[in-house]
Amino acid sequence: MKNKKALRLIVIVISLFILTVPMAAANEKVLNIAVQADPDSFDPTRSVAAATVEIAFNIYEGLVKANEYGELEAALATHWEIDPSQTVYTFYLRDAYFHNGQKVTVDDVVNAINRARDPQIGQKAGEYQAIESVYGEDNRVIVKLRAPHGPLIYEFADLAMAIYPKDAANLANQPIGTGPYKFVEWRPNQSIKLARFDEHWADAKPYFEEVNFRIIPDDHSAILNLKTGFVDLIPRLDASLLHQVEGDPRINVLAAPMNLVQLLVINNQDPILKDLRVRQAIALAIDREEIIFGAAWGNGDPIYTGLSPAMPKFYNDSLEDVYPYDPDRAKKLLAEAGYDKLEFTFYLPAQYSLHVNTGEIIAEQLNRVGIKANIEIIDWGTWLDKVYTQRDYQLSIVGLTGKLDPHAILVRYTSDSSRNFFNFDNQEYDRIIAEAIDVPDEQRVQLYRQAQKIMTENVAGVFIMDPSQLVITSKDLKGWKNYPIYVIDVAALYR
Amino acid sequence: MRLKKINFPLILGCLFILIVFVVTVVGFFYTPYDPNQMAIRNRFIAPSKTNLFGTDQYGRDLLSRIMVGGQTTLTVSIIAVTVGMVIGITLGAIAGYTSHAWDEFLMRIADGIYAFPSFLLALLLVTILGSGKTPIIIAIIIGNVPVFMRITRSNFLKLREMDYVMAARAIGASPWRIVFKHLLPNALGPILVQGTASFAAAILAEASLSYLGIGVQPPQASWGRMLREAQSFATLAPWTIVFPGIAIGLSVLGFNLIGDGINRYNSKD
Amino acid sequence: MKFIAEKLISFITTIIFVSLITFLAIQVLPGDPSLLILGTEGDPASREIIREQLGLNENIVVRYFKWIIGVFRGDLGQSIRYSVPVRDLISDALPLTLWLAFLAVILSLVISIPLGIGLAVKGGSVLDLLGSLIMQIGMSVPAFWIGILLIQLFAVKLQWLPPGGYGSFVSFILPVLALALPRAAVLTRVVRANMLDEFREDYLRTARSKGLPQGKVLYKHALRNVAISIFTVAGIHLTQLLVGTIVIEQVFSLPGLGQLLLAAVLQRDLPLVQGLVFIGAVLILTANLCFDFLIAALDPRVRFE
Repeated sequence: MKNKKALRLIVIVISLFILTVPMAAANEKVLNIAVQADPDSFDPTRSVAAATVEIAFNIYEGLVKANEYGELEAALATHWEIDPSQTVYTFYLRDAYFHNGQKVTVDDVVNAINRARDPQIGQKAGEYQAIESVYGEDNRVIVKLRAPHGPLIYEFADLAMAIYPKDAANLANQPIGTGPYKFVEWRPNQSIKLARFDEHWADAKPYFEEVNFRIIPDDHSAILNLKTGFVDLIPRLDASLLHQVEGDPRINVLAAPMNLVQLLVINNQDPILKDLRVRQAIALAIDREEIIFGAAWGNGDPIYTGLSPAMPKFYNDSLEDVYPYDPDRAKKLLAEAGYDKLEFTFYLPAQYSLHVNTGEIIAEQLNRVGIKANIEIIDWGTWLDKVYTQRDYQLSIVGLTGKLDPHAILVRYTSDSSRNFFNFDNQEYDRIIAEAIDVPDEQRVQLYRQAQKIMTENVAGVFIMDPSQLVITSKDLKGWKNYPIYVIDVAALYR
Repeated sequence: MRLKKINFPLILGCLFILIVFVVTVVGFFYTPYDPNQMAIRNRFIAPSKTNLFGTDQYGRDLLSRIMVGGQTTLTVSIIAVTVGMVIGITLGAIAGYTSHAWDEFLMRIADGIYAFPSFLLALLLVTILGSGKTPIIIAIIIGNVPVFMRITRSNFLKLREMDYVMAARAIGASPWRIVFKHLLPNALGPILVQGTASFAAAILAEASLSYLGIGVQPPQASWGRMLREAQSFATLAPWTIVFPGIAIGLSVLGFNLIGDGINRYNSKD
Repeated sequence: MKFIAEKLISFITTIIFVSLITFLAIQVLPGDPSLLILGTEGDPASREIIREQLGLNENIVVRYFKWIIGVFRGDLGQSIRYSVPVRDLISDALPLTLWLAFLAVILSLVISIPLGIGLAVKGGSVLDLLGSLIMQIGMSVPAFWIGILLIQLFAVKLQWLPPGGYGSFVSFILPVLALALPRAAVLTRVVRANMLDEFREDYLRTARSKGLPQGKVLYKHALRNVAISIFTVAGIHLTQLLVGTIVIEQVFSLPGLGQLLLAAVLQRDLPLVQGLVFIGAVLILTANLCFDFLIAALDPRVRFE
């Protein structure tokens, strides 16, 4: 009797269990994407994480939008004009609707831009100080600049300048935008669900009706999930795991430059590293080929300056031989500087296995020229605190994500930039970056190439590689578009 | 029937621990290769005559790394368990031999600490002190103190009432003498058994925390960390997960068997 | 009555103790949470605003009481990282971890009770010795290693089961197995040792001599006593099970409490770490209290000790 009761209880428990666990949906109009981390906040004025941008790209739109070639296209503005003085931008607003059904008005746009440039509110307000005023007239939004600032137009495509209803209350968790997908649900640490927005202004409707971004921090499990069909797409696979998918008939592998600059970050104001000869010795000790083979498993392009070759127009390709791999010269330089044994603390951000692996190899390469780099793997929060904010470090490794315009990348290295955690200080460099803001295009190209030469010769950091972005999809998924910025364009995908 | 006479667990356990110890201690003086020396083009060489256990994803010799990784694991557990044991026994002796008030006070605290899962404590400490050996050692010490306190105290309470202890007290033997001559030696059996269990638990704890990536930092080797790094390559190079796992299992098994053996020995008396 | 009152008092004092440790430990953290919120692009002014919002500039005693009062109201504060209530995060992740632990307990009991009895019946034989050795090995091998090996075998090689992730019922099989096997090894030994003791007891001999069938004797009389010893070790097991799930969730990428906790620790999400550690400890303490009462109900001797 008792046994039967127990048995019945077990059956009930197990069936309850099966009911409460969501089953994998086999709907072909549903797309499952593996992402590594939760977004930080969906509030455009707050968000700084790349993990947010890649998802939010599908929810929010700005006045303009980048395409896969890094060029600007119309988004909420059908077209725009810049007056000859380069200080008045006029955007012509499109008839479009927010996900909550409201019509997009000029007031919404003015409100969003004003908040983005308000230092009390906007995270990136510092970059928008060139704007003097913003106001609306009929269906036009007029932006007035204090002085010409060529690179500014690209900022209107940035998530920080996204347009949302001016009465929206809780954007951080309940984003409302105008993009091709609307937000449905965010289960922290688990998934983010989006649904197709059928009132979107574009003529072509995206193929997928529902998109789930599944948060799978470990790429190894992401692959196994892809193989079993729980996930259709891994947008950025760790190269060391490529062997697990290569040759699998169910899987497609796409590789493309990421427009990411991975570098050995050197604190230029550190008492020892201040000595140019020490920095040069470090640069000479780095064997990029070995790193790309060892840490990225061959999937990356070596770089020698702070810009990625993914920006061919501006990239200075003549810097390869400034500091080639030459451990003997490195040792000589160290001896010249009066050091025979050097020891540094080497912070690596735990979250990024590529950087950690690169760091392990670099520590070994530095060891060969007599420099001891003591690795400390720290979490991203501590990294931001110690390296980025307090600039209290000696060596580290990080990747700087691509921007649409080189100014946004190179301005980091100017001596008064709040984001110059390299402590790089070169007056000539500062002058060139300032000069390049409002000059004709050919001249800009020349100036930026010159700026890159300065940063390489003075070893602002040791630039290592632009790692390939490895996009892994199930065989039937098509339409992946590779952008020079950190996004996933869901609307382009189909089966 | 003769099988029963031989204390198999004790012999096997000692043998395993001896193997682990010898391999680890030799690692201080000699390893086949420099355990941190990378030879990236020689990555994932299968076990062979040149590399007995094969090489890892950076072409480092796995045997050398296991020898050195054992040092991390064993130093952490030896330091942590010994310190925890000494503090625990001392406090337990105080609780079990001095006044009732002391006993109440100390055991209340011990119960509180005991209730706090030491793994959670380790995670808390890692957030405060950062990753590394120190937080792990501290957490294991704190976790072990109340355990040894309880055992020492309860045995002391039991032994205190024994005739020979009463007699010693009656003839005016000093408390030190009573504790060290009469109480401690007789409580040693259960304490030792607990000691082996604590060693086994400490090794597992260090391995687990290093596996989670919050133990020792690279390039330092640790068995748990080696498993973490190797997990991605399990298909490509199975030996990278097999050998560190065996190393952990063998050490834990060794201590467990010794504990079993001592138990068996005690119960035979 | 006295027994229950005593247990309850020590339960409450321990919980206060645990809350103090949790709160104080977190308060001495060197990292600044406002930085995490602001990320790579923050400046001192906006940082100060955030510190004010989080109440980080207040007196520590005030903060403790605010926190503990909130806890009793079911308010564990707001996660810094996810900007949602900690309670929601925990209640979202809790079911998975509880299921994992619960199924692992059931599975380990299902394995260990018959196995332990079987080995005890064959007590002293080579089979028993071999079985004991296998159990020793089983309890010595780390659960996460078993997990890795199970993935290799069943998910990669044979492709029978999903390797992890939170997809469906079947994705639970491997993690539960990895979690249950070492537990089962320990429990088998407990059951075996207790059964051997029971065999020596007089009442069993009497029952046997009365001609009661062997199976019935075993289950009716001995199992109740075995149950007591299982519940006695269950407290220790729960703690180890919690630890096990933290690691196993990592191996199989399951979004339960363990993954939440590890992420929170690494990201220095103070309110979340506080809430998780506190809730974790309270869970274990409550379960232990239940076991204490259960044992007392089964074994009258305990009540009068």
